[in-house]
Amino acid sequence: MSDILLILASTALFALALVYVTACDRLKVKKTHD
Amino acid sequence: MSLNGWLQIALFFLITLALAQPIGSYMTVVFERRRTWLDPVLVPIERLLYKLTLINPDEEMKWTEYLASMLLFSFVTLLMTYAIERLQAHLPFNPQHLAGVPANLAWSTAVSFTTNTNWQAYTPETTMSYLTQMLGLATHNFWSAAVGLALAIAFIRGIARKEMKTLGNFWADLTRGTLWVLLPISIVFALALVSQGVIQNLRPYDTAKLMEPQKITAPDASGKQVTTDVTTQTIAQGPVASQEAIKMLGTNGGGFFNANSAHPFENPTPFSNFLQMLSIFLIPAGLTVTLGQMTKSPKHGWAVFAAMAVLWLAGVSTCYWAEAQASPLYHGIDQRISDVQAGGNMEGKEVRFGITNSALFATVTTDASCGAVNSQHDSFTPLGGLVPMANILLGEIVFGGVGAGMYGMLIFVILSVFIAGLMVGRTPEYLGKKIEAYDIQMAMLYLLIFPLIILGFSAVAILSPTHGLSSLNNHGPHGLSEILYAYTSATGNNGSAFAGLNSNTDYWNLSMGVAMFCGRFLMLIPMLAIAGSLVQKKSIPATAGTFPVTTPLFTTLLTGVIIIVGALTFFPALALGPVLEHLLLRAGQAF
Repeated sequence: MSDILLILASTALFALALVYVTACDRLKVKKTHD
Repeated sequence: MSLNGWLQIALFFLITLALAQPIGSYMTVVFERRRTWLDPVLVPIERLLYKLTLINPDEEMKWTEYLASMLLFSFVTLLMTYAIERLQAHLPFNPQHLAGVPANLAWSTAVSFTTNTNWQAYTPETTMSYLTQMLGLATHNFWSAAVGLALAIAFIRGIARKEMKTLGNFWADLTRGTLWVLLPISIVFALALVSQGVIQNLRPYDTAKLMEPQKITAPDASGKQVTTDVTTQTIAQGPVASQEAIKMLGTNGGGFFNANSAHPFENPTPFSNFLQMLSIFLIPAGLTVTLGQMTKSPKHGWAVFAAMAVLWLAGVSTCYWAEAQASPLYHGIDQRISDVQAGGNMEGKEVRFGITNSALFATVTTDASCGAVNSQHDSFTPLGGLVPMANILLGEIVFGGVGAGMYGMLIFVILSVFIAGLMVGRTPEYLGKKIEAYDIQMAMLYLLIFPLIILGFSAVAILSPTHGLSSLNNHGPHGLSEILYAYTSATGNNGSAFAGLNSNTDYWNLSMGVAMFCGRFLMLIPMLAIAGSLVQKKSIPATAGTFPVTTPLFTTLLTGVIIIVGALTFFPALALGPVLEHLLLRAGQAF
């Protein structure tokens, strides 16, 4: 794969990890409200 | 097996035990930002770093902010290492004029070192320049260990603090872990290694004239067999000691040379070998004391230490016993231990370390997430090789990686407390904090992601003759073990290789990179979510119905939960790999 694709893939993986953080946090908020 | 071997194993454990208290107490002081004797030197450096990076170390972070900072730091440093690898041909400290690292390999290596895995799909001395080793890789040896340490401390704060929202400041924890813990110990350790003969230079490689010239026949570029006379040998050099120290202390494991700690320039003497093994366990064992001190329950810290020690002893005993056995394939050959031979299985082992220190090293490096090797795990007996793999599959929580071992173990502690609560029908409590549904959901997420990645990637590789199986050198159960071990090592961020597998292909570089990334980041997110939940809870006083986490009963339950969870999850795969290979070996078949 080219440099650009690998850098984009890395960015996407870290972005997904951030989404995962948010999802875990939202689950906690939802539980608290329930 | 010999009495001498058992005494060496006992000595190793006793020194680990003796060092746990001072190093653990020191880390408590460092992370509670109390005064240490290194402050006059390090505080000005710390202040300067904060000033340059515009960081306010007193600014407390919620778990989400703590993780976002960690992800940002990891992302930027990953790209930095990738760029250095790709551009090394144009950068200084490259006396061998090595070319830039190919893209996929550079990416896999950057992910590998960022995640504390240090899996190496390349031969370092013919691939990486001195600058890449020092600036691209050794820096990650510090940073990835400091990140793990910071996360473990944040988790412990989550348990210790009451009715708060924050876990500390990631940048301050990262800086203090690097400056106060990793750097000073590494300097002392590197000097000790130099005293044993580990090299430290920036010279071009040496060329030695062979005393016995060799004739080598190999295919040339057109595939035609060509015989050449080999009269010289290239002897690689480099700044090894400085990298070796943090490689072991930070439970990183990536060797300066391809042979790793079996190479005489990395690990020349039995004493350097002993120091290397000790340094792997030094910080993780100390963290059990830190846990006890920061949660104001020192006995709990020792109860966790005891569970780790039991699992370590079980692993090293099995591995040592298996490797000391005579091979059933060599009929009529004396394989007993004696004054003139080590006895047992010496294939793939260095004579200067022998069976005891090879089995002990293999156990310690996989109990922790180190992955350095001083022998070839692929050449171990099936049951001897099962031990390193099982250690990683249990989650590397037997002392474990720097920080990672502690937070992995705390997930099992929470699960054990939960199971104990279910047994007596009470809401489970852990050190005064109620363990509720969200905490268990996150704990299960942590525990399920791990096997999902390992078994998922292994299954895909096994089903793919062109991508997965084409890299294998062995077939049958041993081939399965090689694939399973590779993804286990990557996902567990261990980095040791079973070998027998060429992982420097596009498929393996990319799939291993993703496995390493998921094994690090997707697991520590639910882990810190639990800390973020616990830190907000109020503390409930212990009652007669509270399950104590300071007793031998707790240690027994914790050990049982770890073994049962690990055994239930991975037993089918292990039965088809090393267990089947062992049975077939007894029947006279080797792979």
